Amino acid sequence: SILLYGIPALVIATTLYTGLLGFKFYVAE
Amino acid sequence: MPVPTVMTLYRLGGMVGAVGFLDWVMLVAYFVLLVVIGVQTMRKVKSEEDFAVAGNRIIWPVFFGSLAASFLGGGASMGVAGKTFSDGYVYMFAFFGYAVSFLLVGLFVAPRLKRYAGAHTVGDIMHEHYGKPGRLLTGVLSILLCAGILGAQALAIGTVVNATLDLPQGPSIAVGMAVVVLYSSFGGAWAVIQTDMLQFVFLGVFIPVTLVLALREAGGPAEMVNSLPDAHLTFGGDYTLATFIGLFIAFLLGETLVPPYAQRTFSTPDSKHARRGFALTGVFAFLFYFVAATLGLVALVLYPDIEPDQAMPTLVTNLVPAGLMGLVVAALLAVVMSTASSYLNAAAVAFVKDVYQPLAPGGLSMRRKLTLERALTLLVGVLATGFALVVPSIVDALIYAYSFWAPTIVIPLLIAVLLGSRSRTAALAAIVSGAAATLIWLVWFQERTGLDPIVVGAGANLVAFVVAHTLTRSRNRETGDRGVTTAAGPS
Repeated sequence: SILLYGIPALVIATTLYTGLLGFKFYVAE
Repeated sequence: MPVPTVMTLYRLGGMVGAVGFLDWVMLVAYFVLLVVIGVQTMRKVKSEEDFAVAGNRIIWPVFFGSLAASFLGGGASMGVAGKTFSDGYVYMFAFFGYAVSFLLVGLFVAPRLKRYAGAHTVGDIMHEHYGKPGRLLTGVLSILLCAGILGAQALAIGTVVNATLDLPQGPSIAVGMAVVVLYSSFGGAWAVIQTDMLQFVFLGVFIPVTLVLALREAGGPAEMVNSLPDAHLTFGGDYTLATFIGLFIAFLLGETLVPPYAQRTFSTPDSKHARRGFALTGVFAFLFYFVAATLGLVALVLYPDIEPDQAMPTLVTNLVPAGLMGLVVAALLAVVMSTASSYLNAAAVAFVKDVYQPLAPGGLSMRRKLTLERALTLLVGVLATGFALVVPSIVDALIYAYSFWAPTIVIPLLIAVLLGSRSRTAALAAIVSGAAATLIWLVWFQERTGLDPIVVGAGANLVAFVVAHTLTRSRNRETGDRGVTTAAGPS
């Protein structure tokens, strides 16, 4: 459960955080 | 009677697999957003440098997200799911070769690429070290490789739409590629990178969400694992050691610094951003491959009788509820379209910088280069779409160029960047030997041995480089034909 739910959760969290930084960059640049 | 899960109830209600009004709204919104980004980024493109490398202003989070979206194409998602369905996790472990490659290039090579001020393409580096022949050979292969991958992604758009929405492939390819060509022509690298970021969010959220839904349907992780054949869960599976190593090396070398990845690296402001973004893409790839591979295994548990390459589309059409379906289909399209736009942009830039410009008499003005790159983006995009629609066998032929990248360009490129070699003779000997060995192996030995020609070609390339370099070293020392690069490449 830790592997099969944890890794997708990590991918989603990484994606959303990167997406937020990317959105800030888009707004500024 | 077992207690029905939420997903079972959905299916009983006829809600699953059906594409509702909300799904179409989501899909249309996704396409509209891509075009809006293309239009908004258009005003950022004032020079060839903006069109090719976004003015070197791409910070590491954007570099990471956009590179991951470009790098994770149909093969990394639907391909890995399908092969893991049939072979087990062993295929994922072999596929980790790509992630290892990204990690190593990110840590040791990408930061050095930023030493080449003004460089936009792999050809720029090859010219700096090995002269005009190095640039031209790299440029021609870059264009063929990019056109092949672009055509393959165009075909994949048709496959995704047909498998999930049951719409005809031809119009799907035409609409999907029209959007890609539109924003890539208008906004160049700025549009490609910013749309890649949107597509990164789609694929990084909704493909893992699909896995969570699928695991629930399979009765949870422990139940799913217990239902699988033992060999599907072991490190070696049913592969022989030679098969595994051959595949791993082919994946390790196959996409090393292909034109879009090198070009994206040049778009960062400095080596720190290049290292962090590139290496993070490698780390992310390990996690993404695990998600895609596990989707293949869940499909095997739930639908053991389907064709392996239908693993991911079958899960999507059978398990994703209406309302979420549009977003998941958009995520699958994002995987494919982000890769297509990156290769399209790289093909146009490589044509102008590595083939047209070196052969054009009298040079080119900045404005003319920008106009040419826009026109070529349009032309290459239309041609690749046309081939995919009318003569897909041409796309199949172009994809062979992919097999020639690692055996010809990668080793002389790495030796140039890491060791500063300027031995033109060694580079040309390596390129010719690698190409010949790959061609011979591809035609006569691949089917008999099962060994990927990339491995044989790269081996021949390395041997030829070392032998030619050793033979010419004394002459090179006398003429100063070797040195460590610290300065700019030609621009």
